[in-house]
Order: sequence, then C-alpha cells, then structure tokens
Amino acid sequence: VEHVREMIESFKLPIVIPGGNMWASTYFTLTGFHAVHVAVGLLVFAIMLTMTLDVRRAGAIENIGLYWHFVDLVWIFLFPLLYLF
Amino acid sequence: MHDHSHSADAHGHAHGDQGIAKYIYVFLALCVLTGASFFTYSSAWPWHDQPQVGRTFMMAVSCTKAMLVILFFMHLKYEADWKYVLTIPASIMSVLLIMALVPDVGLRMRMYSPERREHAAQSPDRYKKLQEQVRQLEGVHEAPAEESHAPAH
Repeated sequence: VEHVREMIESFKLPIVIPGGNMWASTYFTLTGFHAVHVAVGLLVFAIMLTMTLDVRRAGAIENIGLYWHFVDLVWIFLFPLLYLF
Repeated sequence: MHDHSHSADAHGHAHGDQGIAKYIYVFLALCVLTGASFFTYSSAWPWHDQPQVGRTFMMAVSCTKAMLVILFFMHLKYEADWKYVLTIPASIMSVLLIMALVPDVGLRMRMYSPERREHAAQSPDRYKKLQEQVRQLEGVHEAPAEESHAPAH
C-alpha cells in the first residue's frame, strides 16, 4: 500500500513545471494556436480549389475570406508582440 | 451592403468601384505600416532609451493595420449600419473583461507558494516591491510572514 501511495505521489505534477518558462509557454501557445488556425485555413482553401466558385458560392467565399483575414488580424498583433518587443 | 450592380464584377463583390486597385493600395499601406514598426529598431528612432514609447508606437501601428484589414479585406466598411449593433456592445464587453482581469493580474503573486515564487518569471526584487504594495493596501504593517517558510531546498 505504501509503495502504491508513493507511486501515485510521483505521478502528481508540481504546481510549477520544473525547467518551465512562462515566456516560452506563452510563445508556443500563441504561435501554436495560430499555426492550427492557419492549417485549417489552408485545408479549407484546398477544398475550395476543387469547387466551381460562382455566385452560388458567394456566401462561402465571403465567410472563408473572413476566417482567413482573422488569421491575418491575429498575426498583426502577434508579430510585434513576440518579435519586436 | 451597397449594390452597384456592375455586370463586369463576376466575383460577387458588388462593392468596390476601383476593383482590385483598392486592395493593392491597402496592401501597400500595410507594407508601409509594417516598415513603420521596424523603424523603431533603426538608429533614426529617437526613443531607444524608453522602450515603452516604441512599444506603444508599434501597438498603434498594429491597430491601424487591423483597422485597414477589418474595413477593406473583411468588408466591414461596406456593411449596413447593423454592424454597430454587433461591434459596439462587443467592444464594451471586451474593455470590461480586461478591466475585470486587472485585479487578478495585480494581485497574482499574493497567494504564491514559496515553490511557485522561486520559479516565477518575475525577479524577486520586483516581487518584494509588489508584496509591499499589497500589504499596504491591506493595512498590514508587520514583518512579512512568508519569510519564515522560505524554500527549504
């Protein structure tokens, strides 16, 4: 029982990740989520390329454009915050 | 949304009398503004001793760029007045959200364990100053209690 208890204790993470770094964690969270956002956008663009883009698709084109420019918008703030500050 | 009903406009973008030229101008403006952000790193930038001036400038430039992208690339300029119904309450709520987080940010170190404090990104000196300010806020004037249970390792 004592052995199991010690094993469970060893599984518990400390409140601080040893060797962790707040800036690095923030950096990779921000850029990681941005990368996911970009990847989804590229996937949607690839799907759109297979379609005939006419007036019937105007709504989809508009909304995918809005999604993509949101990715753009995020980078406008991420770039100076992460690389120029 | 304005409808100029140009038969030549096959892309469903009924707005935009100048066609693609407008987007080229916006793109060039975004390039110039990006250059303005980089200008804070040039030797001609007069406020190298005060980084906060450059940071404020860069954020102002970023807000201008965001405005251009939202207005032209995201077509907000050509939306009807209902755009205000969405954007004004959302803007007020976002400001309130930031204000609601200010106490959390300011007092974030108050409940730190010694272990957490040891690994804090912020320097201990700054931490002590903040602790002092918090104690003054609470009207506690005795010697800091957490000095007794300093990290054992």
